[in-house]
Amino acid sequence: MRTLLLALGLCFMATIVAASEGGTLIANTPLYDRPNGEVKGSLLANTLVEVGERQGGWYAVSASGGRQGWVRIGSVRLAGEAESESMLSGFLSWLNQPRSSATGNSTTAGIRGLDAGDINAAAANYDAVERMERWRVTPAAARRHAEMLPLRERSVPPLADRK
Amino acid sequence: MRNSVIILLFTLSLSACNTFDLEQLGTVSTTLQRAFVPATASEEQEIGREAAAILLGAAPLLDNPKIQAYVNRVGLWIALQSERPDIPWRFAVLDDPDINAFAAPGGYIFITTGLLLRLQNEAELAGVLAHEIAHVIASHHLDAIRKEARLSLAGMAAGAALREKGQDPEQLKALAGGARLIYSRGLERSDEYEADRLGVVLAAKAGYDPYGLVSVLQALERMNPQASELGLLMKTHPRPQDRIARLDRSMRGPLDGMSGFQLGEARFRQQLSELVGP
Repeated sequence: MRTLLLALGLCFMATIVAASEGGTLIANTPLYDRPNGEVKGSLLANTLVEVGERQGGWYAVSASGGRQGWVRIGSVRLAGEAESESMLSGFLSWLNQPRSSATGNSTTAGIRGLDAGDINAAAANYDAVERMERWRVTPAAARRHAEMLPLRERSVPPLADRK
Repeated sequence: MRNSVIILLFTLSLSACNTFDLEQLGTVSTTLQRAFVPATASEEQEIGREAAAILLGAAPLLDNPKIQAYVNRVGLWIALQSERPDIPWRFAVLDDPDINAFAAPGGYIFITTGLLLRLQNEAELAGVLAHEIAHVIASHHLDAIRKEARLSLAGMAAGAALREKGQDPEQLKALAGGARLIYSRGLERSDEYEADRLGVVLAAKAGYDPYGLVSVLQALERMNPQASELGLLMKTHPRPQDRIARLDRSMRGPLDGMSGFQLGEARFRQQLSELVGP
């Protein structure tokens, strides 16, 4: 029940956020005509942009003055949830009741969730470790799951660390 | 080996006022020596079971076999693309509103309902699980927990531990303590960045949109960093914006020319309807 209420709250919040999708450029950014295309201009840091479709590592953006194009995904900071956060806080505080777990293994107070104190105070729960075994699947089941989407195995090179 | 002797001697020198039984000292010394050699596969499983039990003592399992099986199918498909497809991979959803995911040695992977319910598609789920799988592949938790256990055992050698002869209970206690510390304090930041890169590659090898993890990090970035459900994640990981920037630099080029990846949005929503309704 708690999970359902939390889910409904998050869906409500997602609706609010989706209605006001926007972002800010975090640095001076080249503007491309298409993903991996040609540079057609540039946008300054802190420019407000409307964020549209994503293709791989690229976002379609539009800025004031009719400037439109594509920028790298890492160039954009999406608008925050500040407006909806206060509404969510109210929702969460309403939910903030001591609870017992559905499986009856442990009790965690309130909606604040798992924190360092909970982990430091935790007693080992070996029964729950054993229960995890029930949900293991076979490699054949995982492959069937992949084929249904379908997911195709790819050859992908390792990524270099670029600090 | 030399390090273990140095730590033991150093610890003993700080505790010269204690009287030691040489036989008991030998027992602890043996335990310390075992903690310094590379872990065997069975030891990794033992340490992982101990660490998983600590996590499951702090948060309950979600009581929904369909969702648990779904996450296991997605997770195992990714793990099959790794260098260790044959270890007993187990995935589980923790019924907890905090936004987080965890790995434990030997192939234990956890995601909270708080994070699961914020994801938009299967590629984002794959990005999260692949990051955790990468921690197991790179032995990040295994090495960190064993390191903490070594320090703990060295400390025990100077005190109460010597009053007990059995070495396994002390070793298990030290491992559990190490696991608590690592999960509450976090790994090295460099381990998190490495898991990001390795995980992106694993998800892409499995056919998922490799930007799934970046999308998740952007969703976290737009949240209020003071939000209570982000508390432990923010304490134990680099800032989302720093992870996004480093991933973007690493991914640009190698992955840009590739296409045909899947998001799996419809299937994800259908599976999650088990939790939120259609």
